[in-house]
Amino acid sequence: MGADAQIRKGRRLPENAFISKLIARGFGGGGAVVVPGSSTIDELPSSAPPAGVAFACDSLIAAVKGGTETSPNCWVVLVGGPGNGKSFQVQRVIDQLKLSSLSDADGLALRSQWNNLDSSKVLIVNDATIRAENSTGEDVGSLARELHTLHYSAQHDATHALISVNRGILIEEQAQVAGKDGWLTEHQLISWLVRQDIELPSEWSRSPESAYFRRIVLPENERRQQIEIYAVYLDQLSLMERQPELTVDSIDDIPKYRTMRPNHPDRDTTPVADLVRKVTIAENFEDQGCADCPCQDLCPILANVRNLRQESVRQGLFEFLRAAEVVSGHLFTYRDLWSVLATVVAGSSETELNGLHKCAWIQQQAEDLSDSEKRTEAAFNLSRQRYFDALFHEVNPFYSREQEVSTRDVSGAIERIRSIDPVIDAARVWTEPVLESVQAISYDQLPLNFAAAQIGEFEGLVEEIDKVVEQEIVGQLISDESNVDDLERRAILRWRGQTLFRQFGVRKGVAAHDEVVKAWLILRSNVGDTFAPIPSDSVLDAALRFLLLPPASFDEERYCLLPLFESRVIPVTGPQELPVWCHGIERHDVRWNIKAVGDSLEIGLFRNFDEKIAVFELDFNVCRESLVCLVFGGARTDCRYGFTELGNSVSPRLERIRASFLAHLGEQNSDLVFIAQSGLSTLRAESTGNG
Amino acid sequence: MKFGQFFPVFNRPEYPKNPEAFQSAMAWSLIDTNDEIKFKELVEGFKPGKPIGLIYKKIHSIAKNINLVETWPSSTRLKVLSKSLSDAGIRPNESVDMDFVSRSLLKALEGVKADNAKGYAAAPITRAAAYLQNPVGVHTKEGPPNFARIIEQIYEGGKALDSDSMSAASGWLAAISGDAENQFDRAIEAGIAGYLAELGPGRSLLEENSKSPLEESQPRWLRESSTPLRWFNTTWQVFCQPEWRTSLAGRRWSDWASCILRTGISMAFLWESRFYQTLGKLLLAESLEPIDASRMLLHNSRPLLDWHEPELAITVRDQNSGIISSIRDGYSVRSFLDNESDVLDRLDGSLEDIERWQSADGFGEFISMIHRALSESDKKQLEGCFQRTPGGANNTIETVQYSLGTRQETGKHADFYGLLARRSRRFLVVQPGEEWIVVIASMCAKLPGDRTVLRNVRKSLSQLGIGVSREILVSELERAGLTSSSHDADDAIEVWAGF
Repeated sequence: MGADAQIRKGRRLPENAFISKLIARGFGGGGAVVVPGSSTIDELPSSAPPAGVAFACDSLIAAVKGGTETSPNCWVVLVGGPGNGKSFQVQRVIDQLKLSSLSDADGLALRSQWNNLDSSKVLIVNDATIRAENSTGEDVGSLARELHTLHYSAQHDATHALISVNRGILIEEQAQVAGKDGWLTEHQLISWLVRQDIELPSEWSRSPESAYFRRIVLPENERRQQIEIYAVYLDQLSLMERQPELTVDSIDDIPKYRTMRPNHPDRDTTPVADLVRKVTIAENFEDQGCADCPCQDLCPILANVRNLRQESVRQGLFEFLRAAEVVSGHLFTYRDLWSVLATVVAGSSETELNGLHKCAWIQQQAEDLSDSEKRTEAAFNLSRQRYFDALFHEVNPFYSREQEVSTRDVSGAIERIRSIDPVIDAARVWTEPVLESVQAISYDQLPLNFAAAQIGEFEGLVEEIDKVVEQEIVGQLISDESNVDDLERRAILRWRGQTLFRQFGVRKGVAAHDEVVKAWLILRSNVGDTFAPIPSDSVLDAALRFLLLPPASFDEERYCLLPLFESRVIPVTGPQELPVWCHGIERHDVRWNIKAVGDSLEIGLFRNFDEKIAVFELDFNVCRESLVCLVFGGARTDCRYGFTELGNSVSPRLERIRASFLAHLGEQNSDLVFIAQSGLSTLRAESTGNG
Repeated sequence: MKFGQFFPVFNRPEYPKNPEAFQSAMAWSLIDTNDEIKFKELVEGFKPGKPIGLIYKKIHSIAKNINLVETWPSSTRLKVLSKSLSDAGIRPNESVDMDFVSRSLLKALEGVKADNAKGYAAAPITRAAAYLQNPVGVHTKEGPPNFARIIEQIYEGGKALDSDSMSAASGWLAAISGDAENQFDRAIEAGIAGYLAELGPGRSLLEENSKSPLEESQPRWLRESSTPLRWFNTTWQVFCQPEWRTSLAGRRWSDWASCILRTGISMAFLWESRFYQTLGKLLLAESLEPIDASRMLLHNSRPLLDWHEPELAITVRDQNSGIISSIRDGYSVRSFLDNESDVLDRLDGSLEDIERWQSADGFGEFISMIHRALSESDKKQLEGCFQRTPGGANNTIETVQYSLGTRQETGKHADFYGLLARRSRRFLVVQPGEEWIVVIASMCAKLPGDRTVLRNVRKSLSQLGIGVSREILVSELERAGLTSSSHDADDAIEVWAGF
């Protein structure tokens, strides 16, 4: 009996409870945010925690469980933004140590809870954005007061702590406690947590130091015990990369975070890959009733799951998502990943379900496929749930001009993915197979059939639902009975082209701005965590020099001229109508060094040995502007500056970096000032003894 | 009771043609003004009894009631500047004429060109450059507005009770006179100072800072309140730290100083106007409880200016009509209380009472007392305040409009530090120049290289009286490259200083 027949008979079809939980977690509602006590924590799979978290939390658990009154104190601080998984980790520790819940009698979240155990005290602080009531009268933040209490308690009892805190809160706390009498230790600790370079007591032992994990040991106190503080930064490393595994043995030689080059075969061995594998197992779908569902062949969710069970498909998806991180400059948090996972598995969050369970809605659409009036729209609705389409903006070829596409909000993660829609950048070589497929219509062939037969990347990707959709929508273009007009024909062709670009792009891991993304990923994979010259094989090296410090002219490549008295430090190039006082920077005297900070890259500009002029983040926007610059500048045309749609956002930063050179006119540079008119002339400032 | 015992007193402003005028006014306030007369030899057709006005570069030469001196040198005086620069150590290579060097420096010092300005001011990139114009010359007027004093009055009104900060001008002097790190800056400073000495006084104006800074006092409740005056006081103190002077190139430091001054002064006058406008309305109410007076006057969170998204209709975004009505009404009510009515004279109280009324705790009670003391004829007169355009209000309106307004949006003399953009003759919208938000956010971060959080930037703007949504602000900060927002980090997003 078919699905429609079953529905007509009033038989209730299976509704997969796992899909409900996935949607709740991914698309908002009660399950989107984890707070201690969240029921969804145990109901959805989890992956390995971010680097360093397990080690630090296990150390805390061991200290509490195995400790005596004379044990050292262990404090763990988890630092990260919203959705990084801090609360999740706090709940795990609470569960493992059987500590008091962080909620009050009404179920409302508490900021902190002291647990008085037999041999120690344990303070749990979760989500430091909840401010504690200040009963001390001191004008300092809640965290500073908690650290103060911890420090005092540790003088008398074994005192342990697990603190989760938002990075922005740390900055506020630091500002509040700075300079306050009696709060020096708290200020030093918070400054250390926020990575501010301030002088710390020499007896504090600081090792190891890395972007994602740090430890500091405070000397023995009155109880003759040390305080060991671990700071773990959950927002520094990409979950799309392999996480370093910290062990007791490696703590003194902390494992480095190494990123992968594009198309690296290990991209499927990351935390997100682990999560996708766990989500797509049969226990969550076929065993939850999908195997008995009469709609299973037409179900886009099952089609997505079947696709995502293939390693090669996952690889492409992960390459693509990693590109979204690079382009946006934002690493996906766990909360982000759940919204992406819910989308690639359960389809678009923008679909109007009319109060139905997603399974029931799919069943209704499947039924509508048999209805001549509704089947085209149903086919389109189902196609929107396919993972490669659900991630992007809706392109409905059947909306009349008056109708609008969905304006429902999507998550920030999906918005970032949309900024790398392969369609944006579909005028390049990689798109040729897709264009050929679309061209197949001229020979009365369906593009998807052509692609499935001719393009390797489509192998194993095309499901029954895709064929049905293709036949229903695109088939109208080659059917003798079709009555589509020219307008509709163009709309259908555009839709088919775009969905194929997306399918192909996500499958291959090719995002918009692919060359820039790859250049960044290659550079990032070659860079260590201390400043060193930019690897000479990086195309970005020359491009950056051109962008930031362009030569005065092609005849004079030695100098970059920065105007001294202009409000804006825009390099002077070429002849000037009026003379301009400039600081002439010898371009080759500037050392361009690079280092990795967590997942990001920082460029440091140095002169005269170790004189640091400026440090700035080498993000996608700067890379993109640079590469445009290289293309034109390198080709020796008159176009010296990068100018893309990102120009407005990059220019102010570049301008301020250049301005830093003017604030660093040291004594030794006093003869490097030029007047640029028809040529360059030197100008020196000599000491007169009375100037 | 005297008006000044309970209400803020600011000298009346006039439209400052050049943003650089504020720093020059402070610079001249620190030295003996008799020095200006020593430039008389340069005046053609000297008018005895009329003041000397210095302007960097004239656009119009007409100056009826002053003796206008252009400090931009004529061809003969160019030699003086060249010699002075040369004496200070500036050495071009052999192929370049020193006069050519001088001319290019002169051109480089040109400040922002303002509509209707009589001339260009020099950008005060050094202290000496600030003396290339004076208030008489900038305003081309015998009795120019005393901006040096206005700045101190506003600064004092925003000074926290426990603050022992020096005057605004002293802070500026300490910062701009800090040891220049390189010989080049020192040579330019000495060269300009030497040139000015040769033109007039015969000695360097830089040696003349014996004059005490202007001292002002403001009512206690004002110093206890969060107002744009407090914003100016704290921001100016942050800015005058030596770290900012050394981290910013001279021109940028000068531009930032002007930005803070023009923003602070204008918003302070706008706040003052709104204060008196609100006060007038409260006094006309049938009844007035002290707590309501206190809430409406000291804790009014209604923004002075609204920063809307550019997609909205121009009529929604317009701030001009609000600025004009606030200032007209406020000016009238202020005049009523200060000059036209004797209601304050009719009030009496012990010294203890007066002290309490001057504080934030008792100010509401004082206002309530005025309310009770108003006669029917007083009220009628007060009602009239909301239906007239007092003569002096236009000067304040122009001060606010032009100080906050972006002078030129593009070109060599582009103004990157305005807050309002003119859209037709009628409309002014909040549309900050590219660097305005950089200055505001950097001051929230306190020191170069430091950072703050979005919450603090929002607090700062709120104190300044600017209402803006989180989305617009984040977008503006991202555009300026000062933050990389987290989608749901609320107000705990990190914001970096511009340098």
